Amino acid sequence: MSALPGLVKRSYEMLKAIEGIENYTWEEVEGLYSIVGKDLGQSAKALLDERHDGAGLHFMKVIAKHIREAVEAKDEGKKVILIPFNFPPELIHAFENAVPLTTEVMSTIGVVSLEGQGEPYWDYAMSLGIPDYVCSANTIELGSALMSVEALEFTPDAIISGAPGSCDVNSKIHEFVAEYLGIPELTIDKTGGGKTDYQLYRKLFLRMVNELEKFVGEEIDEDRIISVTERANECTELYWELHELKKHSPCPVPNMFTLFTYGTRFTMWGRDEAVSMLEKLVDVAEKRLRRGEYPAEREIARSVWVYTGYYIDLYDLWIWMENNGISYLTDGLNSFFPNQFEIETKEDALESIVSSAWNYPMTRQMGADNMGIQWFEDLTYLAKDLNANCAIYCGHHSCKQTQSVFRIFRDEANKIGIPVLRLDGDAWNRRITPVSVLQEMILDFVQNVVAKKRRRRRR
Amino acid sequence: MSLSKIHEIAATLENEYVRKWKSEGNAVVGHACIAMPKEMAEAGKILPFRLRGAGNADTSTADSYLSRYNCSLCRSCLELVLNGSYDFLDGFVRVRGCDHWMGTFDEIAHARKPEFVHYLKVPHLVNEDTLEFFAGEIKRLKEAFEGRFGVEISEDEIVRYARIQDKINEKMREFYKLRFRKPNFYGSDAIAVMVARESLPSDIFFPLLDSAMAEKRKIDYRAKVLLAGSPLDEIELVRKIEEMGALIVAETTCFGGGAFWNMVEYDGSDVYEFLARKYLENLKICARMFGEYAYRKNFIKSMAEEAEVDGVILQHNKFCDLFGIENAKLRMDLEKEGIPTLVLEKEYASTADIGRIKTRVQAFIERMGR
Ligand code: SF4
Ligand code: SF4
Repeated sequence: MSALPGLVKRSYEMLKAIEGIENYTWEEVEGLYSIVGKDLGQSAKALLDERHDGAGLHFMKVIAKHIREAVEAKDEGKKVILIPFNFPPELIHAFENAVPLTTEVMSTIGVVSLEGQGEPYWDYAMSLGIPDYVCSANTIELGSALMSVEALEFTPDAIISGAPGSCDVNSKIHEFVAEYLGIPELTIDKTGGGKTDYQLYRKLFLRMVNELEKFVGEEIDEDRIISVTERANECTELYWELHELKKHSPCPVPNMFTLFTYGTRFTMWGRDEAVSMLEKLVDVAEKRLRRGEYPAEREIARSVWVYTGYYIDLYDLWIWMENNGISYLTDGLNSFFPNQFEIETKEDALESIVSSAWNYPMTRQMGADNMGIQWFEDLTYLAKDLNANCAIYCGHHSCKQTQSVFRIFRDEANKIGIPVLRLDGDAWNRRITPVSVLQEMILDFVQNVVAKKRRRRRR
Repeated sequence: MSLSKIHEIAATLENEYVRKWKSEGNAVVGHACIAMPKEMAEAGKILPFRLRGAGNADTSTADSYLSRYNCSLCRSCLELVLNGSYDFLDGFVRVRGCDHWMGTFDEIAHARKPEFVHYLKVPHLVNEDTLEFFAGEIKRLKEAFEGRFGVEISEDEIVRYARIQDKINEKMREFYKLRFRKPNFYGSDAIAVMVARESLPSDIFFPLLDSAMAEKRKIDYRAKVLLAGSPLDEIELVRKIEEMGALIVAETTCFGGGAFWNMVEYDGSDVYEFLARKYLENLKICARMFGEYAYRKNFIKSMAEEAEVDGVILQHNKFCDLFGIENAKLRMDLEKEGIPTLVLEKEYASTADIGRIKTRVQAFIERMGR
């Protein structure tokens, strides 16, 4: 069909250039905008914004490395394992001869960094007869992976599916790709949120580790996995430091740091790159706190986004909100509730990874005994802990589970005085709802519901 | 006579036998998936009644609970729960099917607060760990039934009902075979039979089926078709398809052959282990089970061959992730093997869809050279 190279191939070429950048001025960013066009320009402006003090560039380098390692792994005889976002990459980092590539991160990179966003890859998947209500988060990257049969994209060696029990569409599209490309798929399953569910999940996870060891042809080395999980512990500590900083008002942690945090979690957790990324985020936020920096005159809304954010225009949504006094404190994708673990043996390390996987966003909420209640409890806990005064649901059109229990979430949140805005759009596909409409709805909600409520409370 | 009785039962929710069952002090629980171990419920004098949309296309109240991105069959069922049509149920078993059903049961619990909702957790994989887990889940369901309805469910009684189910499954296979070569029944009859089975005590259903099978009909058709895909209880829709000349002679769906064709018989082993194997392994016919795509494809292929069909209709409701994606792959693979295939996306019970569906079926019949 299309002769356009695949998403991984294109992102690899594009991000290779970014890895070489050291310093830049704002004028250069503006200049870049006029050269690279609107799609990439908006992202560059957002990522390289002055308030991030270099953290956006640092983040792009982390992602660039993630992609480079996957693309170059083949030449080094290593296996590339395509993992979904709800799977801890540290398990793959524990292998000497395997590297992870994260589906949803790749889709997001496609959306934020390529001209035409993820549309060519989405369209490719549709051309094969896949229905148009599947999840763009995975279908963009997986659509691109399907192009490898035409030698337009690079093929992963195996796929891990971590969503059965929490997301049908995610699991199903991964299965489709594995079948279509004829590559092995390793699957885990979450049956609920209780003790016996955990026991089964753990068994299935360890069974999968075993299969992975056979597939890669290497038994995980004890020292290596211990070192990976120790780095993961360091990351966890920094994650919570950043969380604490978000409690200040106005929020010293820029909106986009939430995205940088989970982008790092989904790719490099357990590696030095993740530790230095999170150190950078904490460092920048601390400095901003000391200097009392906040881009708007006043922080009007402290919002928790209860599922995903929108990735279709980073500048006109994430930066725009902050410039309008709307802090994006955290979102569902950032709800890892990570723990630190005592690690002395390979078994300890594996147990810690199983436990992190079990607690992953989406797996934790949508794989619970009652999706609506667990979702409500987790997100309102975060909202309260971060002194949020409102919640926003992106209304991602493919999310059948969140869509089906949103009513429960909203009714319960209203009972405890948290107003909730329900938007209607696709987080990774701009064709569904224009950014201007989203802006209008957010502003309307903030001015007419959140700000009024604040004023009433003050009186 | 029996066939028309079956159609009558399929057209109502609370049928006369359910009323009688309840008047005798027995309970009825609603569920929505073939993973529900029927014999376990019946052994406790609890009738497992499978939720269905009963052709209801109005989902206006349900839409304010679920979203318009949810499957219209689920929305239709929720509407019927909300408007009281299912008030004869004494509770629900939230059998883990797909995401849409899980949300539907959560909204039922939220909106109606029924006194009994039990979550039967069903794994998505079949291996020794999941089978052991599922056996434990079946025991938990038994305890929940006993606790809630004050009954005692003995293993002997479960075995007795398991043997009855075996007989019914055997009879159902015979009934299906009467539709294959020289068809004696319409597909709409078969769906009505399946719906009735899911709405009746087994000792009522068995003789009804037996006598209905004697009522062979004279059937006109242009092409023989197998129906696969998501759960389909829309008798009216099947009738419309058949009016075009496409006779449905077999179904692999879970409101069809998928519910019994491959089900194993009781073999004397531990009851809970047996039930876990029986239901979890049979569930491989459903797109919710991972790592089993080849099994499903072969099931469709072998049934298509046995029924000597001219083509396969792969249908799903809009927003059904599991079968929407699966059908794309099945179409590729079945066509590759020379089996003409039509993918039909539809809304549950939507009359607005009928014209479009008829045109597509007509084109399909022509494509099959009939
Ligand atoms: S949970 Fe929602 S956003 Fe995440 S993969 Fe599933 S459908 Fe997509
Ligand atoms: S389609 Fe699958 S999950 Fe749904 S009711 Fe049928 S067997 Fe159960």
